[in-house]
Amino acid sequence: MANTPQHPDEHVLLAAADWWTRLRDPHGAEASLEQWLDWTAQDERHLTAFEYVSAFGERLGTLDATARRQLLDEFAPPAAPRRRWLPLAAAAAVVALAIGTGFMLWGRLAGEAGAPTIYASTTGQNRDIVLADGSKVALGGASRLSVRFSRGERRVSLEAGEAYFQVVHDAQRPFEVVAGDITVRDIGTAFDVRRTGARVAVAVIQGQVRVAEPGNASTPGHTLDAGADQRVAWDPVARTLSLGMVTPEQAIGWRSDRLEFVDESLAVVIANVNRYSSRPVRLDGTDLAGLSFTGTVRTDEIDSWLRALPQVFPLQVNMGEHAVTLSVNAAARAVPSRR
Amino acid sequence: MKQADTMAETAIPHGHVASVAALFREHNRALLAFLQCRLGSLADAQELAQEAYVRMLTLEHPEQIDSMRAFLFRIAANLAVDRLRMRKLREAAPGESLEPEPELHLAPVPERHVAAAEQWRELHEALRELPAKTSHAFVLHAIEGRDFEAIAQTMKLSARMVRYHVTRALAHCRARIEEREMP
Repeated sequence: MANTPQHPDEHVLLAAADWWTRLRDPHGAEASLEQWLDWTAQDERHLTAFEYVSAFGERLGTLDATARRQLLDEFAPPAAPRRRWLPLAAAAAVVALAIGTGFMLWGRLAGEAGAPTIYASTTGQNRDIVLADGSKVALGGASRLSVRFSRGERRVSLEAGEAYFQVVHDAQRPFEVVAGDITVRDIGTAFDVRRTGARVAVAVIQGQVRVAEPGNASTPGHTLDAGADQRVAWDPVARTLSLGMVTPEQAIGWRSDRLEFVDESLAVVIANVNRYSSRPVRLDGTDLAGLSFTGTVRTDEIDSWLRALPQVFPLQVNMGEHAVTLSVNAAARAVPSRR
Repeated sequence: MKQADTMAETAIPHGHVASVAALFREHNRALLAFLQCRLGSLADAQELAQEAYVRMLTLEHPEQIDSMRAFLFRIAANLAVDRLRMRKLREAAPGESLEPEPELHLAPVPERHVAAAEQWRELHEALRELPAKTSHAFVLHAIEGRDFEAIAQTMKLSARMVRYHVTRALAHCRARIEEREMP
C-alpha cells in the first residue's frame, strides 16, 4: 500500500495531470510544448509520471460501452446523450402515441392521488420513466410497475420483471418498492429489483436500502440492510433473505442489453431471458432447472446463446417456430469439461 | 511519384542522419508520451512517431532549422491534429460500427472480465469522492471524449475551469486506483 519508489508522489502526479490536460487543449498546446519538454528534462520522474497518467488516460478512453454508459449515467447525467429520461408530461405524450402501436401499455386509472399509475413494457423493450417526484425508473423487458404516491409515502409495486430505481431522497416521504413478499425501503439510493416469479433479488448500486421480509399482524418481518455492491436475495421456498455481492455491471447490465448472471439457476436465467426473447424458451423436465449458470446473455443475440448452451450443459436445444425447448441430452449426461 | 524518385536518388547527408538518430535517442520517449496524450492510443502514437522521423530524415534543407527538437515535435503535433480530424470524420460517417465487441457470452466470467469490473468499480468509488462538478467534467472529457470548449458550454463554466476539474480528477483517480493495484 505504501508508496514505492516508482510510484510518483502526489505533487508530481498533479503536475503530470496538468500537463496532460494542457497538451490536449487544442488551443495553446503548441505554445506549451517547449515548456513541457523543459519540464520532462528537469527530472527523470517527471516523464515517468506523465507516461503513467497518459497510459491511464488511454485506458479510460477505451472502456467498453457498458462501463462508459454507467459512468456517464452516474457522473454526467444530463449530458449522457444515449439515455433520455422523459419528463412525466413528455412520457405521457409518447405513451399516448405508443398505445396505438402496442409499444407500451399504460393504464392510467384516474388522475387523482390514490389510484395507481401502471407502467408496463413489452417483451424485449426497456423503458425509462421519470416519476412525479423526479425519481427515475428504468424498466426492463416484460415488466410491470404500479406507482401510488400520496402525501406521506411513495409506494411502488413491481408486479413482474425488473426495474432499476434512482430515487430522489425525501425524508418526509419514504420510497418503498414492494416486490412479491418483500418490501425494499430506500435510504437515498440507486438500486435494482428483479422479480422472477416469487423469487426477488435486490442489488444496490449506490446508497443504502432496507429490505423487509413479510411480517404478520403481530410481528413485523425481519429486515436486512444492504449498501452499494451488495445484493439481497429472497428465497420464497426457504422464506429467507440472504446477502451477497454484486457489481453494477452484473446488476444493471440489462440496461445495455446484457443480462448478467452469477451462479444462477437455469430456471431463473431462462425466466429472465424470456423477458427479452421473441420466442418463449421452455425448460423440459426439472433436471435442468437446477443447473447453475454464470455468464452474460446479450438480449439481441439470444438465439446464438441458446444454440451454444449444449457446449456447457448436458442439454439439447430444439428451435421450434414458436418456441424453443431445452431438454436433457441423454447422450451427454456427464458434464463436459469447459475447454 | 516524381518526388519519391528524386528522393531515392538523393542521398541523405550523413550528418543529418546522425542528428535525427540523436533526436530519436534523446527524445523518443517524450515524443511517444506526447503523442499518446494527444491521441489516447499508444499504437497510434508509435505509428505517427515513425512518420515524424521519416519526415525529419527527408527534409529538403535541414541546415535551415534552428531547433531540430522543436521541429520534430511540431511535425508530430501536426500529424496528431490530422489524425484526430480523420477520426472525427470517420465517427461522423454513417453506418460504420465503431465498436466491434466480440463478446463470448457463454464464457463463465473470464478473469479478465472480473479484473476489469473490479477496476471499474474502483474508478466509480474514486469519482464519488470528488465534487460533482469535478467528476462531471472529467467523465465528459476522459470517457466521452469531448473537448474542453464543448464541456465548458454544457456546464456553463470557463474552459479553464473545465481543464482544472479534469486535471484534479485525473490525478485523484490515478492515485486512488494505483494504490489498490499495489500488492
